[in-house]
Amino acid sequence: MSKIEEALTKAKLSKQGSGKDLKVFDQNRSSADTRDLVPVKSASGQIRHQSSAREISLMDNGSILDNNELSELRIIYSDMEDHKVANTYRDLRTKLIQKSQSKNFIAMITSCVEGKDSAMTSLNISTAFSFDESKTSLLIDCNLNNPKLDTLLNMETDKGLTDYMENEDIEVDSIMHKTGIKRLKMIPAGMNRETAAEYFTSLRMRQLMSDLLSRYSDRYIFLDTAPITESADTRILVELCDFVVLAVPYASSTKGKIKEAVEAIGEDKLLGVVFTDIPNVPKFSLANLFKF
Amino acid sequence: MQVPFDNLLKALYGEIFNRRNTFFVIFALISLSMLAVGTVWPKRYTSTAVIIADDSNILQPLMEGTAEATRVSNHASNAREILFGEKIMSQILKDAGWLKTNPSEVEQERIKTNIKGLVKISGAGRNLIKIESRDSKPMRAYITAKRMAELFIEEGEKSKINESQAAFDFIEKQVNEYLQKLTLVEEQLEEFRTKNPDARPGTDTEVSDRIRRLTAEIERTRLELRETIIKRDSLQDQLSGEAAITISMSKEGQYRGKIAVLQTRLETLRLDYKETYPDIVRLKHQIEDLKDSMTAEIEQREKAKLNAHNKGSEYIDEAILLNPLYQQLRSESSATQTKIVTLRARISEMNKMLEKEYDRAKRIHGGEAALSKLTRDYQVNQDIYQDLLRRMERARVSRNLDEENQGLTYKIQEPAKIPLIPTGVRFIHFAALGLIMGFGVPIGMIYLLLQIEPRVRFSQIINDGMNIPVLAEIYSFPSNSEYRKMKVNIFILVACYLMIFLIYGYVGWLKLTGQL
Repeated sequence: MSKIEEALTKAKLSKQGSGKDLKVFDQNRSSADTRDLVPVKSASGQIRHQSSAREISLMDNGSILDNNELSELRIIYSDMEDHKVANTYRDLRTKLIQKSQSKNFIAMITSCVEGKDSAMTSLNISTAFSFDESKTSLLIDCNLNNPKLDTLLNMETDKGLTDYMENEDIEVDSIMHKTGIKRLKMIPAGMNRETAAEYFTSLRMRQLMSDLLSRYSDRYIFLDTAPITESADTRILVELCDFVVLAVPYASSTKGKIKEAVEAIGEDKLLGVVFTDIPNVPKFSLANLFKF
Repeated sequence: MQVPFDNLLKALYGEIFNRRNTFFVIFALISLSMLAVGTVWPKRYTSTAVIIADDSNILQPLMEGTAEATRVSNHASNAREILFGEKIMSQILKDAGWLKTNPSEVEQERIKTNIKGLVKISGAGRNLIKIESRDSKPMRAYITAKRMAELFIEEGEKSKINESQAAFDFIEKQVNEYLQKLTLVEEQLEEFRTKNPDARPGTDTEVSDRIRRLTAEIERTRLELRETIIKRDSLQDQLSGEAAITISMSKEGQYRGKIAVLQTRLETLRLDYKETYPDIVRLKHQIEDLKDSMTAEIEQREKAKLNAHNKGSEYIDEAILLNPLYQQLRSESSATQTKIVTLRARISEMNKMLEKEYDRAKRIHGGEAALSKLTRDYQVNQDIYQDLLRRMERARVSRNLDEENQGLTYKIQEPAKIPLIPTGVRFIHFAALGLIMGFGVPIGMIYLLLQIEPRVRFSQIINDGMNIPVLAEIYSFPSNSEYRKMKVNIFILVACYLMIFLIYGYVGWLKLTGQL
């Protein structure tokens, strides 16, 4: 019995036979997490040190996507058929943690070409962080012009970042959504996306960031943004984050484009480049060749 | 920034995999179209005959310089001239079976041109002529090569004999012509000789020699004449009156001499003696006598002179006449006179001879020009005639050589064979090329794309070339459903490739069994 089949049966059990219809989970996932409502008053920073691995493990993750669903969403999972990709993301995670000297951070992930944005890379990097049971990651969709993360995660979201910015009554917890991946939460772009640049320069945005960062010492925050060469919003966001990772898809950009992006980010914030979408020939072993 | 080769290869592999469907379409198009071209490409069978042109046989050293074996400098071009001629081409057309369908004149011409294009005649080595005949039918290629070789040998020998016969005939004609010329000149020379006996070689010098001798002789005689005249004149002078006077004066002189001697004696005696001394008196008398006789002598001479002058004749003293010297002078004078007359006669005679010689010289000069012209003609004609005669003999031997096939001979070295395997670009080449190009062209296109497209495909370019750290290289990965689809797609592609190979195999089999 292969791993795929194992995963399939597991998925069937957890979803009570409705594994193929992903939308069913979405409704399950979108319900607010009551545990996360408690430490909202985080501005004081008092509760911060209470966060621990134990607390993370107690976190309500909602209904969890099984391996097959993750695969369909092209999200990495720990026991993938092709270990290479998952391992690459793990190595990348280690590198990022090393760079931040084991402190949690806000990392911005951006691209340098329109059309090939960094959403998938951001999603997988944050997923790689959530592999670790002692860490949690939060993915914020800052690509207000073209938000994709909810689509990529096959979620239907209502409130998001822009709603929070617009409406002071909305609490942080109500915009943090469960993703169906353990220890990974996501803040979507939201419905109110007309005056983006103003939101990012606002005090409330800075407040939100520092609140989110200090809520748990093991929470890693990732901002997915529009390509830096195309968007002024992204350039503003560089200020808010600890460092920037530039995603360069294979055969997408010339040296000039990359140079332009690097210059826009600035040497001190740029951590490095992640070269993605390299064409790869998947392995076809004799054992799985005739299994469909 | 140089990208390592294995990375390049990996990228190439990945790109090909991503474009596997397009890759197959290009492969199928190229390989199938090449297969189609290979199927309709006409087969070519080649039959080869080799002819050896043997121009070095045993007779050659024997006949060196005497006979000319017919030589052909460029056998191949010679063969081409002969074989592509109208006569042989028509024969080939008939023998190879082109006329079975009764083609029109125009079509026949077209076929001939076609055959000329397909038959290759080349010189292999010094003496070999290679006839290569190509055709879509093996039998026709064979017959063409075979017949061409045979007809070439036939035609070659015929033309060779004709050639040497023609050479002989020509030389013979020339010989006769020169013989006639020579005879004519000989006759002319004979006639001239009879007319001009003087006209001998060397007459000219002989005549001029004679003239020179005569002139010298005349000169000499003239000189002698002048000498003789002078001699006669002087003799005459001596014999004239002047001479007589001279002699008479000499008598007077005798007297004076005697007187002087007597006077001297007288003077001597007067020193010792008186005038009355007998000896002195006698001496005085003697001197007186001598003075008288001298005066008488002078008077007599004057008188005689006067008389002679009156008479108009020369006075010659008797004493003188009796003088032997005078006698001698007289005889000498007359002898001299005679000699003068003789010399004059001689000079005039010699002048006459000289005139005659001059006349002769004039005659000889005219004749000699005519003679030398005739002689020259004769000489030249004779030389040419003899040379031609020699040549004619050589031509006769050469002709005999060719008639007996002993000179240049053509032999079939390697007879034409019926070709079994077609030559040139064949179906198998097209098939192989189709497969190679089917894979090679799309691979090359992708490789070219990797090389020239400016967008970044290798992390090394960012890391090393631009000095930006690359944190990770993330390969794309399929979702499970994509993976399944991919497998289906690959199965279908494998089936398609197999289909192409099957088509190749089937067409190949049809070709092999000759059904196509």
